[in-house]
Amino acid sequence: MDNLRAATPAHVAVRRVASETVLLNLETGVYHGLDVLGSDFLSALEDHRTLAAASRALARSYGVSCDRTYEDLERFCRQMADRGLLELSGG
Amino acid sequence: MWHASAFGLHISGSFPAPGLEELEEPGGQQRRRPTVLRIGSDKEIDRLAAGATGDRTLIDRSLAGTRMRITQEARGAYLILNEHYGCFRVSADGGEVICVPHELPAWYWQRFLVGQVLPLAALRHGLEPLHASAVELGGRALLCLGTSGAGKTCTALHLVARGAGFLADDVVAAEVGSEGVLAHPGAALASVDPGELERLATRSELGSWTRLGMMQGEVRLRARRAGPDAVVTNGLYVLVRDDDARELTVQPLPGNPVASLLGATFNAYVDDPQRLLVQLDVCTGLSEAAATRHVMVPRHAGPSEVADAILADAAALRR
Repeated sequence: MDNLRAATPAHVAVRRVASETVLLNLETGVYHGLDVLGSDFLSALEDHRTLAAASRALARSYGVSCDRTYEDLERFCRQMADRGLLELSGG
Repeated sequence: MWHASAFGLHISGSFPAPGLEELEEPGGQQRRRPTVLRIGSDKEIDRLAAGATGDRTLIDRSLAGTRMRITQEARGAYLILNEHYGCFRVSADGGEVICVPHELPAWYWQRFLVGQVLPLAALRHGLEPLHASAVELGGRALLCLGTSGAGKTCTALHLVARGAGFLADDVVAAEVGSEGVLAHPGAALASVDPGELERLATRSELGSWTRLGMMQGEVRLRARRAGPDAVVTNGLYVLVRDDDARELTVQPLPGNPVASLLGATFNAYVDDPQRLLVQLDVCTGLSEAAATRHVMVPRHAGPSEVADAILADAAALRR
């Protein structure tokens, strides 16, 4: 699990709007929105190579346990991947 | 041949087009994309369509009893058939529009040209048309958005009566620029409720605007535009009528403004990645750079009060 990675695929455009995020899947033409928490998750994934590293950073930032954060982050990644907004690799 | 600037386009044509042909010869600093308008024939449209295989029907529906069908040829051109107004062909790059109107007065069928066909040409040139009326105030554009009947036009004209410059009625072509999102002026045309026009005409320059005729219960006017150049947008006002509301309020738009802006865009059937990215950048750019306001309009409030509230809010923004 330490090597699980998530990245935004080339067909997804990401734009920050204030503290939220708008994602556009250029293959389907469907827009998606992320609230503040989802935007923080996505930023952490962009800033760190693995989910494990991203969840450690988020856990520090939010003052919660690493295990709980990892679970939440992994669930977020799976839901995003189901919508074609993230690609998962490694793991 | 006349030349005009509207929707960010350098439009050329050789047939009578009130509200277009009298506009300024394009010039100045701003780049405009060339679009040639001409009158064609059914035979020409048939000939152009002949041999085109793989046409896609994008829209086929009746709206208020009028059938409209839009198809895209395999080569990329769009064919728009409107039972009421005629047939129009927009080239894939937006550079040529062939009009085959029914036998109607020019100002009458050109409402469809200005309201639907030219926005598609602008879109194919890389601009993003928005359903909005717009005025220029203090060198910046204010856009009024809202559903049909929300009062976009009347509010904009009341703002003009208070000294704002007229930019566009119903369609604004937007583009991301270096200083923000630019709002390109539309045609010098507006449609307004006759009663509202009477109230405005007695005490403003709107009284000198030429009346072209009556159409669908509204007066079609040849307007006087603020100028040909695009203006940076700094205010978006989404008008929402609510009969249960007690007072007129102007508040920051709740939620993510991008959703409201996407709802104001045109031509959802054009969904190639290039267009979608322009749409995304215009909507997020406006959300970031312009104040976005939700204007709750109660039953008792007319466009005059709405215009006053917007002016007060815009003045507070400038401070």
